[in-house]
Amino acid sequence: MTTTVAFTLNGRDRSIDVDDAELLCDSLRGRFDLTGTKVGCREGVCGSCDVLLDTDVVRSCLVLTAQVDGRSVRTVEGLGQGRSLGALQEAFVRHGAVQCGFCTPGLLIAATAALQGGAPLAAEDFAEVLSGNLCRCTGYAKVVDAVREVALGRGEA
Amino acid sequence: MTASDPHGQSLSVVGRRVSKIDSYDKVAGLSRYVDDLRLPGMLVGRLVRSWLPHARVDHIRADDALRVTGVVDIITHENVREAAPRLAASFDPACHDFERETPFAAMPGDATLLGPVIRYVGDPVAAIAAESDAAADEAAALLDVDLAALPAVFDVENATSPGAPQLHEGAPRNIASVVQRRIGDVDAALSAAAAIVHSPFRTSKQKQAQLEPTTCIAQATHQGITVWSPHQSPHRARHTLARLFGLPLTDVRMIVPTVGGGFGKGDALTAEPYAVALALRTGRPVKLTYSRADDFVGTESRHPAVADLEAGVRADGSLCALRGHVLLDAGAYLSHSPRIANVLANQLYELYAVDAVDLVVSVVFTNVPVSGAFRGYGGPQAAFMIEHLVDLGARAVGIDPIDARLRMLRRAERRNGLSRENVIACLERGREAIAARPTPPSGDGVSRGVGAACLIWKSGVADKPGSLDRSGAVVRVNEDASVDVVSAACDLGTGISTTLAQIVAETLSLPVGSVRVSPTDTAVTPFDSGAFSSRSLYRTGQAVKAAADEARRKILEFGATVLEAPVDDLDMTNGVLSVRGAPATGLPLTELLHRGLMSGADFHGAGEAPMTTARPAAAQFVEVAVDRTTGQATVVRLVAVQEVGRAVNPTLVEGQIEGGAFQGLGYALTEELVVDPDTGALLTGTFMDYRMPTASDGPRIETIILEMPDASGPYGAKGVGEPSIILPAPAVANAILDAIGVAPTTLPMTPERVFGVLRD
Repeated sequence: MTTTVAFTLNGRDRSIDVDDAELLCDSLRGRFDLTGTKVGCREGVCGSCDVLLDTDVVRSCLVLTAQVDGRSVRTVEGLGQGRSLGALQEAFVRHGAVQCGFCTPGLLIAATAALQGGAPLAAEDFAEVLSGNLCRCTGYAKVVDAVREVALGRGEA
Repeated sequence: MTASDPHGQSLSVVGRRVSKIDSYDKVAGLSRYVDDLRLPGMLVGRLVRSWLPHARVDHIRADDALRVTGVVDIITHENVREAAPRLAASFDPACHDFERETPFAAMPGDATLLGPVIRYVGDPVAAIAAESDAAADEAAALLDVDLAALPAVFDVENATSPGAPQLHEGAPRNIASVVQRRIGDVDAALSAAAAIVHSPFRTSKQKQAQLEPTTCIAQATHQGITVWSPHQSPHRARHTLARLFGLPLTDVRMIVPTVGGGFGKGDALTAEPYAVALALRTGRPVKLTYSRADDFVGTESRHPAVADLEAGVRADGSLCALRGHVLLDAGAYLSHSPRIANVLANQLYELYAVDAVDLVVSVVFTNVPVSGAFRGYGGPQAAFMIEHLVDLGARAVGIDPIDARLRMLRRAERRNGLSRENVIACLERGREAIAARPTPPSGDGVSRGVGAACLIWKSGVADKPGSLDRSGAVVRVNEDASVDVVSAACDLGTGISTTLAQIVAETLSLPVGSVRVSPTDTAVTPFDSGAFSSRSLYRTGQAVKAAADEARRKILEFGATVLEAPVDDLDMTNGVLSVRGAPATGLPLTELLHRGLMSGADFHGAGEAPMTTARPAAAQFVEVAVDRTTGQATVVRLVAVQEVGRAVNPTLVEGQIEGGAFQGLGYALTEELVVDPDTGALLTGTFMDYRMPTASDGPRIETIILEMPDASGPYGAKGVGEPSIILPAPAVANAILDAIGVAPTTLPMTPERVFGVLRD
């Protein structure tokens, strides 16, 4: 069975015909060449494939493309403006929060969602909002520093 | 404060926190990892794995699977030679077979590409090439594989018992190799000891679990084979692939795009030979990406060790004797095991230069997934054992364990020539830092304690006979004063390409932004042994520094002819060449380079790392809180002191320490690949079951970087990558010992195990 799915992808309207069983991560990577969304486990645990569905963080390996009809999807490629980086992305670079970078898109998405929430984050929340994403390189310290800096407003360029 | 090089020259780029060159593309989602690449006509590869731990492959009926629409080909042991007629009978997945006494001589336990016998649950029995994932999956399900079960053995004790099933011809009782170290008279030393401490140890099978699942793309044409792979040692892989497929080196090309983490996993061939065989047979490019489950079972992990050790202790807390044996579980094939056994043995007694030693480390084959290279390479097992024995020993004679270490290190320094100055400095600095915030008193069922561990490590293996440890590099200064560095340093995410750019920029007195380090491609880069053994910064750094030195010399020599002044009088800074003290003579480098090119001069440098090594050191101090009712040990603080020679980029050094310490905490407390004792299958082979630390699972690592430059290293730098992962487990064990008077000697130290030792 195929379905026509119309949705907003990084601010642009898109319409595609997909098999009902197609996963969002595969559509993003295979059809739109948005390979910033990484597939680390394909079972919803590692968080490398996190994307924003409207304002929620979802594992794109656990979402069917057919489910995003009428909704808005944002990937890591949509976090900046053209060639310029967003505040969180810049903070990741400045703090050395990126090593191999495979988990980075997921961490950026998870942090973006946390920062756009209404309530200010307490110091101990920073690690908590990132705890759904596995990173094997950094030990998370510099990732937490980058997110904290942006949350406290110093990261705005 | 400005840093200076070992000769007192002040440094401008080395020592700075330059942002990682590759991180801009990575945060933008623009970096392309292997699985992000697509070649025209590319097929999907899929491996079909054994469900039995030990079996003979009787017959494989592929008719039904081949009829699936979109399936192009299926390779099994019955037809693998049709794809690759010159296929070697066996190969070394560790890619160290070139270094054998007779290069490429076969050894018992070498791997076979789709051989007739499988030796662990997950050993590949067939490889499928298809137009789509769906077709590959359907074919895999329809493949009719007949396996004739053979008796299997899953642990080293049973594997070495008489009558145990034997995995490999030429390895009776499954002993693959044995390392023996005998020094002095152990019996006499033990009988003279003030106390003897004795402990069994069991370490776990830890998985690298880099976030990028194992993957590669292979293409075969009349000009040979090209492989895109996140391999850590592509030049060594090229050797082994060429030998395996009977090709000249020129016909094998390895390209390493952006790598999603290594940690040793990528220091072995995994998917590559299968993808090459499929590409040879189909004539089309083949991408073979492992599922996470395949990555857990089908790539090499850290060796579990089962040991029994006793140590004699003098009244001052120092060790006078060390005796015992270690059984190292190689899993089903040999791979890196003999080298790791060697490292493990050395790390047990070299640091403290124990007077009397009788150690036997045996590598044992079992029917479990293969053990191999993992950041630390035998160091974590050794440190867990010896560092805990030191604490047990010191406590047995009522001496502070740090005092005992310092005493031993000072005494050892005078004995075997290995300087301990840096490890002593690490211990003293760490002790100060941990004491600066006193441990809160125990109470409310929570016991608190502090423990430490230390080591001296290495920067590559150029000092080890029989090791191929070479690095070459080329530096090309372009006419616009930008610089191309051509090297095969694989940036696994560590930031080595940024660090090398800093070294070149410093040497050429140019901004770091003007230097680009090439991607790794064996067709164009000089030989480099690879990214392992904490060697890239030191070894590839030496090569790049030598190449940049030569380029600088050529620029100065040509400049001397233009400015009509001796080379020694010239000054090159900020892109301008001038006679020292006469700024008016200043000639922009771009103009000089242009003139040089037009008149036949060249400004390329080539460098080769000299055959030297340097020894970094580290100490870690841990504070734990042990909940006596649950057995939960929580690490409250971890102070990581590391001596790195020169911190070329302190942010990147901190990143290595913080990341390694977290992996080490996982090894200490939660991570374990459990093999089902009845079936040999992995019980924890998913991210749900294999518990790695998340952002909320550890303390903020307190890093302290010490710099004691080594004249042989680039601007004094030594290896950085591995010490941080080695020390958390023994430091946590010693902290638990301090807290509750006893500690588990089995890893990981789960609540169940801590509770167990408390109860007993």
